[in-house]
Amino acid sequence: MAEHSHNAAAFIADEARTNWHDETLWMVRAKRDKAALQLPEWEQLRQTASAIKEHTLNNLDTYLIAFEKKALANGVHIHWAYNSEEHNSIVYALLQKSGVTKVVKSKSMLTEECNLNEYLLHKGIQVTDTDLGERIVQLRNEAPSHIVLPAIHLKKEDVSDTFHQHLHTEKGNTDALYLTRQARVHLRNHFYESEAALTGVNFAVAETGSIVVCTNEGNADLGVHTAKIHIASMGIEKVIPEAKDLGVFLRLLARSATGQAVTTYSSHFNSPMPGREMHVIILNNKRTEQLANPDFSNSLKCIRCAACFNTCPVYRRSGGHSYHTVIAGPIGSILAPNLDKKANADLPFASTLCGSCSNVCPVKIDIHIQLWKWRQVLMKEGYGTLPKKISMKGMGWILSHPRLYRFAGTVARWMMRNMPFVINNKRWNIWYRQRNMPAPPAQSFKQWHQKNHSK
Amino acid sequence: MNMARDKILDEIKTATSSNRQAFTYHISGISYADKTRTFIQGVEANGGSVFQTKDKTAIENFIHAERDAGKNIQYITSGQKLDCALETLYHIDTAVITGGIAVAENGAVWVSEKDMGHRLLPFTCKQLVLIVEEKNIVHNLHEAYAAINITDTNYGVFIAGPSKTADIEQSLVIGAHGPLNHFVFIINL
Repeated sequence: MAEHSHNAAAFIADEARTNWHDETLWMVRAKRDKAALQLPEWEQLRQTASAIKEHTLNNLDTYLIAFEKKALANGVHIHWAYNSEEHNSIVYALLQKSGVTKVVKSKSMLTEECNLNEYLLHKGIQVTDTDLGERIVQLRNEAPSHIVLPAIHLKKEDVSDTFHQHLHTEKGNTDALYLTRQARVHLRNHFYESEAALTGVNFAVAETGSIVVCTNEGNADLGVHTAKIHIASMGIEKVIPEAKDLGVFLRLLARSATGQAVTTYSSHFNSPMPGREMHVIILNNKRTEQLANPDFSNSLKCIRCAACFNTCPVYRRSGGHSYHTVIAGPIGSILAPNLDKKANADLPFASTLCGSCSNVCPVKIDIHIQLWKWRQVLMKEGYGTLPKKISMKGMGWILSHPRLYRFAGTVARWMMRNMPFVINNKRWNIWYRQRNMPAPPAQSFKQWHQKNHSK
Repeated sequence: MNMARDKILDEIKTATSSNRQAFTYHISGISYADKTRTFIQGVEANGGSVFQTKDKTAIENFIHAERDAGKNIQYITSGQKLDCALETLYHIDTAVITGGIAVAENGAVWVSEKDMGHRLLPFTCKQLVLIVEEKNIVHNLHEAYAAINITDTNYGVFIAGPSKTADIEQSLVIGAHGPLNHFVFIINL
């Protein structure tokens, strides 16, 4: 798997597109600010949401058991999956039992995490993603590049070409209204024919056994209310104690995500329609490991709003696919190493540590601190790349030897003046590739200080 | 799969044994000088339209006009169950449904299964018309959840406007998979 920096280099090769990506996401961030500023209690909401999640994580077993008990009483089937393989087998067994071959799926990052679509396709089940952005990337055989705006890496020309190829829309018609209407016709057929509907879960309420799903398109509801079977997949961290907590989280979620006051639909599923089935799968997939690690456990508070993506200077200029993981951006970069340190060792380094992510996070996760902590862990455990190891070791050695440091400074200044090609070499000096070297100063700071300020 | 359940719960217990005290909080959300006006602005910002009326005649006139225009219209009166084929549900032009609590801060209206005839109706219709009593408008979601018992129904949904998407280059399109139009009648009896 290529590293983030490598993938990002390919992304920024198209400067116009990179600028568009950057500006569009910044526009979403600006909408978030505008929405937040309309509520005087915004900071209190963030603080409260963070505290509710903290309390829930500290009592997670109690709340999961309470949720299970209520949901069972409501006539909902509950399944527990320790890892993604178990999750996928449960889904397949449920579909197989009812002879289902066609399913529709609304947005669920958890099923992406489990690679469910591919698994079901291999079993001969047709899976149709019904969120428009997810459908676009599914037709293109790509992964979503953003958890809220899955096709944000694409231009309307790309969507037009994809729809022309798969949905036989007019060639070259790039009108967003036209394309959306065509997708509506296409997906309505899938809704109508679907035998089972898969959804994610935004919140699971322990007090009532309800699950809440938020969409703007209405796709989750169209799928669930049409099909005989509803299968909802959730991570163990999705539970919240009480229905009144929804007031706190729903006020934060859409405002943080897109700047809307609330999503068009906030659907509360308590029990299935008569003669139908509702299943909830509760998945761990290493979340308990994360919970056991005090440095990283509060990343489990995440409500998947993607505010940290939209504000991140690195995400905006490198695109979601550069992160080679289901959840990109700053939060993805602290979640991914927990799943696989080796494969995701580059991600905590894909950050400037500016802290903007932590400042917009609606549940106050200290994202940039965790990025920095992951760097320590990954380097210590030997997952750093060779250039990083050598340069960090070298720097450490030089910085801990003052005389050597002074000598190295003198040499470097001399080299920059007289042999600039040694340093201005894009092949050997990785750091120089995207940067310009400053003009070499005539003296070091120490020399300047001694001359001007020492008595 | 009970093995998975036990293992997960055991691992959580080991990870979290330190801090288990009870937790309470209170937030008083924003309130507005004129919550009806704010609610109307909220619905409009979401892409819907609002009509205010003193009595139900305006709604009846609207329904007659829709019927005269040859529209396939479903008006759900209190507690009515809509028992019809999927095919029919997918071809309804206008659905008129009575909502419960309405939220000024975001334009959302609570719609309970008991009042929607069939769970699909608010989603398959081309045009959704919600009837809201002005006295049911609250300032914010905290007040809404205090007023609603979500377990009074098997399914309930806050609907804030027409279905929409901006998944193609962030261009907002009103009318994704659900209704293309969204109207709210506010009745002030």
